[in-house]
Parts: sequence; C-alpha cells; structure tokens
Amino acid sequence: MSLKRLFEVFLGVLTAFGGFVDMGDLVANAETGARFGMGLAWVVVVGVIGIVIYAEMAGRVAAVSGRPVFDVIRERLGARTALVNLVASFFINLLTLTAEIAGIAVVIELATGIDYLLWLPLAAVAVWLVIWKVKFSVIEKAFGLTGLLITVIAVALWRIGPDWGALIRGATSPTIPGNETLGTYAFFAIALLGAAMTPYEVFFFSSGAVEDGWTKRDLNLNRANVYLGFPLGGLLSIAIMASTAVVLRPKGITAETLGHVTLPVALGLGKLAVGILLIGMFAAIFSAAIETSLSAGYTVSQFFGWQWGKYVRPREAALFHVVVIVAIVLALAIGLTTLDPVQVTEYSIVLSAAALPLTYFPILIVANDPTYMGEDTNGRLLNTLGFLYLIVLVIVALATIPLMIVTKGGA
Amino acid sequence: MRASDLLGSIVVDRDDKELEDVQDLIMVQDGPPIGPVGAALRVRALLFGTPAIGVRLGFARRDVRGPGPLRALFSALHGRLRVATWDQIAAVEQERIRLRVPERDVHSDIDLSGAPGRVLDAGLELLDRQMIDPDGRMAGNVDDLELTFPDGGGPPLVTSILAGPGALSRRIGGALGDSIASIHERLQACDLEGPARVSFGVVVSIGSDVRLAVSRKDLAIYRFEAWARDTIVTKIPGS
Repeated sequence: MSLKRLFEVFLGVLTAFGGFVDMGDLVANAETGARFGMGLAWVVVVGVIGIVIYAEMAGRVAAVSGRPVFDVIRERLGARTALVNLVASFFINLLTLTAEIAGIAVVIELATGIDYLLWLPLAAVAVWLVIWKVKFSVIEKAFGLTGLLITVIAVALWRIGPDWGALIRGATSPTIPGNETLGTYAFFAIALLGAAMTPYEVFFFSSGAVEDGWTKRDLNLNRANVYLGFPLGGLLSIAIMASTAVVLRPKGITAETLGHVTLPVALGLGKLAVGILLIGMFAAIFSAAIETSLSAGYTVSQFFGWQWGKYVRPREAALFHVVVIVAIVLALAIGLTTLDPVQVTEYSIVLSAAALPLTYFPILIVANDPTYMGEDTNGRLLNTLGFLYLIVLVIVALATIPLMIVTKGGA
Repeated sequence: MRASDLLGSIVVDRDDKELEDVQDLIMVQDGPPIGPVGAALRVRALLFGTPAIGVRLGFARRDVRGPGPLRALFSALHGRLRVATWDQIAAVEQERIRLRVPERDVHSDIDLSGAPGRVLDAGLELLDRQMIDPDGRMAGNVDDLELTFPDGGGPPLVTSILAGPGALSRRIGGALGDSIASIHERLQACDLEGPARVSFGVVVSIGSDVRLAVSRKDLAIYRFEAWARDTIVTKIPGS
C-alpha cells in the first residue's frame, strides 16, 4: 500500500469516527447515562456491531455492483413494497433531519444565548447552501474531522477521574435503577439501538461510496472505515454516557436538553473546553443534517431512477436537488412548530429502530446474490451475524410501538 | 401487452381449474436481432405458484446462497413452483392465463441449459433496474416491459422498456396506482400518449444496471427532469 493510499485510509477512518456521533447519539447517550448510569452501555456495543456489519455490506454492494441501498430495495422488493418502504423511510428521515437542524440551532443558542427558534431558519439555509455549493469530499472531510473535537468529553471524563471500577462494573453487570421500570429501560435500549443504527447512515454511506467512485479496489477502504471508524465513534458514545452518569446522575439531573451534555466538560476542563465541545457538536450535527438531507434525495431518486448525487452539477440532477430542498423546507416547518428538539430526536431514533428491518433485510439478501456480487458475497460468519441481527431487529420493530404507548415515550 | 399484465395473473388449465398466480416471466434471448444487445428477448415460459416473497428475492431460482435459515424459510414458504411453457398457453385474458393442457401436463421446472441465448427471469433480473445512458447518467428505472406478438406467431418479444409514473402506476396497482396514472395523464405533454418508451433496440447490456446507447436527454422520460431543471434549478445561482 502506497503512502498516499495509507493516508487516504487514515483520513477515511478519522472521518467515519468524527461523523459517527449525531444529534440522536448525543441525546440518547447523555440521557441514558443520567438516568440509568452505565446500565445500558451494552446496547451501544450491540448497536455499533450491528451498524458495522450492515454498513460494510452496504458499502461492499455499492462498490462492487454500483448499486446504492435504495436501488437494491426497489430491485429486491418490487415497485409496490418498495414504495411503502420509501414512504416510511422518507418520513423517519424527515424527523431525523428535523432533529438535526434543531440540534444545530440549539448548539448556537448555547454559544450565543439567543433562542434556538431564531436560528432554525438560518441553520436550514446554511445546510442547503453547503449542499448546493460545496464538493462532496470536502463536506465529508471538513465536518467529519471537526466533529472529532467532541472527544473533549472523553478528556473531561478522564480529568474528573471517576471510579473507573464502578463504571465498568455498572456496564458489565447492568441493573435497572430503582426509580426506573423494565418498560423505560427497554424503551431507552431501543432508542440507543436506533441512534447507533439509524437508516440514513446506510443510505448515505452506500450512496457516498458511489459519489466517491468506489470500485472493488476500494473494499479495503470500506472495511477500514467501518471496522475502525465506527467502533471508535461507538467508544465516544459510551464516553458521553459515562460523563453524564458520573456528573449528572448523582445529582439527580436527567439531561433533558443538549446543554446538559456540556456540563461534565465544564466541570472537568472549564469554559474553553466547552467552547471546543460546542464547535465539535456543531460540526457533527451539521454533517448529520447534510447527510439526512442528501439521504432524502438519494432514497426518492433511487426509487424512481432519477439522476442523483453531488458528483454532477445540480442542473444535471435537478429532481434530486428539488427533493433535497423540499425535505429541508418540511423539516424546518416541523421544527418551527416549537416541538422540543430533544423529544423530536427521541421519536426519530425510536421510530428508526422500528424501521431498521425494512432497510437491512434487502441489503442482507443482495450481499448474498452472486449476480450482483460475483465472488464478493458474504462469508458464513457474516451471514450468521447478519441473520441474528435481523431477528433482533424484527423483535425490536414489533416491540417499539407498544413500548412507546406503555411508557408514554419513556417518560 | 405489458409484463405487468402477465405478472400476478392467475393460470387456469384446460378444464377451467384455477391453478396459481404468475410469479415471473422466464425469457430467452433468442428472438430476431434488435440492436446492440443482440437478439431480442422472448417469453419462453411463465413461472407460477403461490405468491411468495422468496421468489422475488431470488431464493427460488437464482443461486442466492445465504443466510441458510432465510433460504430454508423462504423455500418452505413458496411451496412448489411450476412452469407453463409458452406453447402450453391458449389465451391471455384479463388477469387470466388460459392453458391448452390439463394440470397434469404442467411441468415442475424447465431445463434451459441448452437454450440458444441468455436465460433471464424478467421480474428478478430486468424489472426495477436502473437505466444508464452513454454519459453514465441515470435515465430512469425499468418500470415495465412492452411485449409484442411477432407477425409470424409464437411467443411475445420484449420490444420496449416502459418508464416513469405512467408505467409505474400499473405495477403499484390499487387506488394509489390509478391516481398516479390519472395525475400523470393530466400533467403529461399533449404530444405524448401512455408511458415513456425506450425502444429495446437501444439497450446495450443487461446487468446490475441496464446500459443504453442513447442519451437520456433524447428519451421521453427525461421531460420531467428537464422541467425541474428549467423551472426551478437553473433559476438558482450556481446550478
């Protein structure tokens, strides 16, 4: 491997790492840390292994056959079922986009003190402008790398110097705290799973592979990104959980806003570090907003067969850009109804978890189809894991809506 | 006739016994030469059986290998699949395929290993695929196929790919499909009738995508994209 190639792989891993955490991960991990301690850390591990398995498959299918995820969904499920899938995916993606745009606005509120509702339209326009003007590879790298600043949370945690033994014991022998029920425990388990495995991640990852012109030769890059970048992102998620478990939980604060995420950093490292964290959060959430906006365009265009992508000029992919604009406008409209950003985020990740089989099942099938994959079909181990996850995801999907009702949204 | 007219139709034998629904069209590329792709596709047989997603996923006939438990599950679900060859068909009626033979003469499979051309299951390997033009631009999906009976008799040939909402509506079916069709009809430019057509004569290859020999800009399906480009996108600076 040449030095240039090695650097490319290294950069890819860092980008995947920095881009892993988004509004959903921040909210879910901070909230569960504050309410359940480390008792749900194992779900993050389960979720990260799941996204690693399926993102690798989706990236490999895209690199080998040139087919991104929604092409595959349409080809395997047929026009009718794929349309149902498209409607569900678009709606959930729209909720996710709403959460991300609101997240950007809240981060600016934290930095400026001016109410987030005023920043919402600006955030939406900024997201669209970057999509319209900036090259795909630049977007990916600039925001992914800046997102790495969130690791300041891990540094703060280390500075605070918690009882590491207790943290690890809490994670390895999880218990449900006395003031919580099995219902809320399960609800937040699903939220964490949905946050780690959000469908837009595979829509974006596989379409991004086509945008970047991946071929069979890039399979190593695919593996490096997924096998190294995503688990590092997962570790960061657990660090967020640990930080609120250590700082907020003993005081009985339940991390209901994004501002609570900054408290451990303020305590451990001071004001400047909070500034650094806010920049990192801004970049990470902003890049997720771009990814979800693009995913709206990717899924619809791929279902209908329209030209999509940032690798051509907007006028060459007109309908794609129209869908992106429509999605951003709709998300902004939902955001402006003053729905609580954290609540929107919770609903978006929980519903994401319920919709996961819709996305992941066709990927698993096509990754086994030699007419698409030639000799690069799944191995036995991967198929076993993929199949086990599919069973888990189906159970989660069936349990989600009843749990939402029973626990009144985890309250 | 369209591929969607055959897919999902019920097969009825000589004695009016209702068998099962058509799941896929087995085609052989052994028709008259049609263009860069070579010979035209001819419908050779209908694959029918109880509706089952396993067929659609490729577990039934293609060598989709795993995961093992899924393969076993879907094989069990689709039960038996049977094949009616085209010469066993007496008539194609509205949502009914009438056979000229009794049920016992229907085969459980068809051996096409010695076929004079490529064998292809249209539903699995051609429908819903992405079309790509010579510049590498995406030019719509294969939403349906137009089948034409040749003058000299014999099985129908694939003569055009149908694309866009006008074709998709029938695949989606039901009230939603009907409303898509009527909206499409009303919005469509008046010089066009029916769904956008791509002559099978411009098809270059059929793989994980369908490659075309003409630019998407010369196809009827491009009109919607062109409209969005001219009325919205190029009005924004930097497009």
